[in-house]
Amino acid sequence: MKQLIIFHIICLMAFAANAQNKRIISGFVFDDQTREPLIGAHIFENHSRITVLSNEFGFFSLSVPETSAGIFTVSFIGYQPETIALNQVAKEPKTIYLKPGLAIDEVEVSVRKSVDFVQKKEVGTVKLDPKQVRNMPNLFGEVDLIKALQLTPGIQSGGERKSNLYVRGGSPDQNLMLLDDVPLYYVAHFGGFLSVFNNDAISDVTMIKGGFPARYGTRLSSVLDIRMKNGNMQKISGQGTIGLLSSKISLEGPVIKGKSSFIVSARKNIIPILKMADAGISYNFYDINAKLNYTFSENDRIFFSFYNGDDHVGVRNKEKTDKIKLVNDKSTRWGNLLLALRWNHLFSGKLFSNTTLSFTDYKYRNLYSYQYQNDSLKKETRSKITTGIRDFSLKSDFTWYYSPNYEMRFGFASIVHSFIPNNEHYHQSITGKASVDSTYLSNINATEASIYSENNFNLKWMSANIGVRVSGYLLKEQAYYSLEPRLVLNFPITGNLALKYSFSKMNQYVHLLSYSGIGMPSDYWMPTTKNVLPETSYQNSFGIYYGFGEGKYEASLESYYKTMNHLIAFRPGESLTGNLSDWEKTVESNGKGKSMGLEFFLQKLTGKTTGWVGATFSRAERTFKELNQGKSFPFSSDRLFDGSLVVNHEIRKNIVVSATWNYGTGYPVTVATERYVFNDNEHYNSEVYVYGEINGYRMRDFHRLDLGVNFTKQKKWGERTWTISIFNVYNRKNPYFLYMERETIFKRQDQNGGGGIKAVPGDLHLYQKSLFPFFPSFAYSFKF
Amino acid sequence: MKNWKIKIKLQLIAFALLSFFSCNFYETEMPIDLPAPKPKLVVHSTFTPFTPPSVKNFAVLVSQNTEVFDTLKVAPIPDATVRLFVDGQLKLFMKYDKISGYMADFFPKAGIEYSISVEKEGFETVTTKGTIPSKVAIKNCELTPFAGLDNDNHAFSRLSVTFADPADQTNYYEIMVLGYGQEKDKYRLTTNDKIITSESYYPSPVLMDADLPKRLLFSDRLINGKSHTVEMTFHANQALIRGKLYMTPNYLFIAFRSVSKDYYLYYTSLLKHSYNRRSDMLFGIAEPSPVYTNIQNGYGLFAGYAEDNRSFWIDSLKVR
Repeated sequence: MKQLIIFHIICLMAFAANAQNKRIISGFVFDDQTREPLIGAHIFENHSRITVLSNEFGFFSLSVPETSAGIFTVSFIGYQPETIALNQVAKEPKTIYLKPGLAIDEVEVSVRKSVDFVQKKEVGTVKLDPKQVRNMPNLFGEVDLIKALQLTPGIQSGGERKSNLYVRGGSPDQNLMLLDDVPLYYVAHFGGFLSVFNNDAISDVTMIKGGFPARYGTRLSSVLDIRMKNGNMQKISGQGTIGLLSSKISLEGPVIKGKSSFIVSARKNIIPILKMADAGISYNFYDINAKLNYTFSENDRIFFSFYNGDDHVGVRNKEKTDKIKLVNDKSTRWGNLLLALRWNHLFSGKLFSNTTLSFTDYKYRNLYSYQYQNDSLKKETRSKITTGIRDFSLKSDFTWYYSPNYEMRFGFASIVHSFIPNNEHYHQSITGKASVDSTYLSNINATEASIYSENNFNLKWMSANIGVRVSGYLLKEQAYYSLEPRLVLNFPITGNLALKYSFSKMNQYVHLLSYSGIGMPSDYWMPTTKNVLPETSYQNSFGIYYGFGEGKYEASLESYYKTMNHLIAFRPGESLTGNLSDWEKTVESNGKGKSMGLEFFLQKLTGKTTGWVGATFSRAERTFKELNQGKSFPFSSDRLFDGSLVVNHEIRKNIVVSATWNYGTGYPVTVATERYVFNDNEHYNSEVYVYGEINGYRMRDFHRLDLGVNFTKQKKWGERTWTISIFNVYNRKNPYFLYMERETIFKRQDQNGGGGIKAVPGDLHLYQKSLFPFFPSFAYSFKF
Repeated sequence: MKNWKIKIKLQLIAFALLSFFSCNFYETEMPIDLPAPKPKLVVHSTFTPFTPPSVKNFAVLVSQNTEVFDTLKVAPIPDATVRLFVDGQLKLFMKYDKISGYMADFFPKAGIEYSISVEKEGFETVTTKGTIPSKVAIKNCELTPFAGLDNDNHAFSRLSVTFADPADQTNYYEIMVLGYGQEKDKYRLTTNDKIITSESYYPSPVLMDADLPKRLLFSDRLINGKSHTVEMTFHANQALIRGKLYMTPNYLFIAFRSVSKDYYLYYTSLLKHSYNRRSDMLFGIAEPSPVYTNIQNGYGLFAGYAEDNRSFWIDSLKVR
């Protein structure tokens, strides 16, 4: 700690000289039509040739020499730049509105953007434009940014149409999924076919896979930072989509024009697909995003964000005769609730703060209700089993724009986790008997706190983000502390070529035990305890970054090496459902993980044709003392190669075609290698498979081409778009899962042909199940 | 309102298209080369004290493992050497019988440790041991032969079994309903009792096409030292004769077993193993679940149980 304090003092002294006689220009950059903040807008002072970018709230601060009499230009791709003379700028923060539309000199804007890409102190970071995601081909007409992220290097889905993100050999629970700065614990609808993020309500998406700034923590493998739109400050507007799987509508507008706005976005499946398919069960899901903001002054803004989403699978058995009435309801529900109140405060043109008070709640519930009634008896039973996690959190982040060469971010966060491994409520009432009401609460509370500091240096020959995060965790008398150093170094070779290196130590105090068993997958978030230690990771990344083609193209080649410690997994054959009080005995802790890879990413950002090419060579493995006889085994997302091609092309202003092609070597899978049979007079259970090495075999390679076309037409009331997508154009049978099945052979009972037919077991075969063949789908969207 | 109706119509058309294209979930046979497994002995024996009418001698079945796709039928091994030990002392050599396997003219008792060793040339010798837990009696057992009709218009019966769990020790139980007293004719049992539905082997209610278990296994984790009633339903024998549904005459045998931990772990893991081998359209396939074994150097089960039972005669009954 002492060294850290000394380090910060040195930083301040070293850059203090540069800060003399400076003039501060600060402000916010917004879209002129909607007044949405423009994140990452480019602010360039032409005299000193100083460049800064707006932050996630659109705020920027620029220090220029007092004597400077030049101009500064604010630009953003897809917007007309604004040029302002410095002598017109007052001391107060300035609000700048950029008009959408092509810049007069779009090339110049692109070049600047490309220079940002090369000069940014970012490693392993992917930014997605929700507008680009909207044009991409999609299954069922569902626009899904998680699916788009899966097409970028270093990110795997873990299987056909899954909403998981396996980032650089990490597992899905190691991703910090932030929606407006608040974590969501479960992000999939409909068995993973669809993510919970509604693209219509999103303004910005950033995925960090390595080189984590110190402001981020609590998970090992990635940060997905999603920002919701604030809502149109100028006029009421809306958009909606009618799709095969779900339909959605968004409405936004001013509450007080110029001061306050709202956005509400809702999505729900309208067609009860499984019910109509006579599957005997009903499946419904919905999500609602809402946000309200209010601008008190140039210095103070507040934002209130809300998200609620739920999936519901149910089976109902109802029976009514003259004598009896019976209703039997069984259902499973899961979903998130998120509330966040944020306050932006500008202490001065140099010091910006954001404070967030939030609540996030993930619940998975099994509900059962039974009612039986006859002439003399009435019986009612209700039970509810809940598992989940609930966080209350307070965090403050400060950015101090000390000088063009030095910027400091610092802050703190405190989270109170309430783990709910297994809460049970039970009620029974029977005519003539005392009713039974029992409640078992298993809540475990733990506190996690952290402070951090990031120091951004800009020198001619290098720039750096050097930071540290100190985190602590307390569960009863058990306490853990961790010092997490973070480092990103950027060495510019030329104006459009740079070498970058990053190192991150990450710490995770919450653990996910996933049981993919019979039926619904169950997720149990469990705390760090005396026996189950915090998970840690160390990641080194190195990359070459190159911007070319007058700023139209960005290319990067990154390598990474990551190690993980104290990972947990179920011991062979164990699961939590019957064993929650002894959960630590069911898991193998102290697991190790190792992953390494090489990622290539080439993006075309502007012009009629945009898109990217991504390729990843990687390896990911796990080692547990009691699994696989202690030998290392491939992790479930391990693939030697994964590549993708994404193209959007504007044929005419109102017609955009898009294509995605993805190729990946086979995912690993565990298969049975031997079997034995015993006779306990129970035919179906008498054959036992013995499984070989964990993930010892590979599924077939995966590849698929999807095409989409968007026809947009202006109407009196606004704009409508028909989206036609063709999923799996050349009908590739990609593996969904492998399974073994024994043939059934029908034989005559006796050789003389008499005695009827009997079924006898035949040979055993290994089959691959593929999910979607050539599959056209369409959606209708509107905007007003 | 009109717009809304149009949207619904559009969605229905879309759904028809979706159904058309999604009805074909491909299946492709996958070739795979597997190495020959190391030969291992498979031993299976569940033993119980003399409990009429369930009269079981001490029997041990011995066979071997094979490569998973091996088409040869796995035959019992008749020429192994099977030794039975009681409390660590050699009691006897078990003799092979074509029907029951290796037999001992001997009825085991609760609380005594039994162990066996099995030797066979070409295999590692396997050893194992087990005990029979104390019997827990049925306090009350009620059967409603016709309790109603289910969604498919099949008649179902309801059964309740009441027992008192002994305190200060972990107990494991099993309930089965057998027709005509034969283990082959076990009925699939449905229960909503959380002491059973919270067991990891019991299938999720939303799993399509799940076979319900024929054994209800559970521990006393939630009922330790308490009296408890397990309620369950099952489909007893019935026949549709000239459009009318009859419950056919039947002799039902209710077995309530107090089982050893090894027995519980083996059969719960076996049930889980069997369910996890299935695939599901929506949720894919579960993680492979290995089967527990208490056989050193081999596979299988050697475990004891104590049984209390009841029997009921069901007369023919026209139900609809």
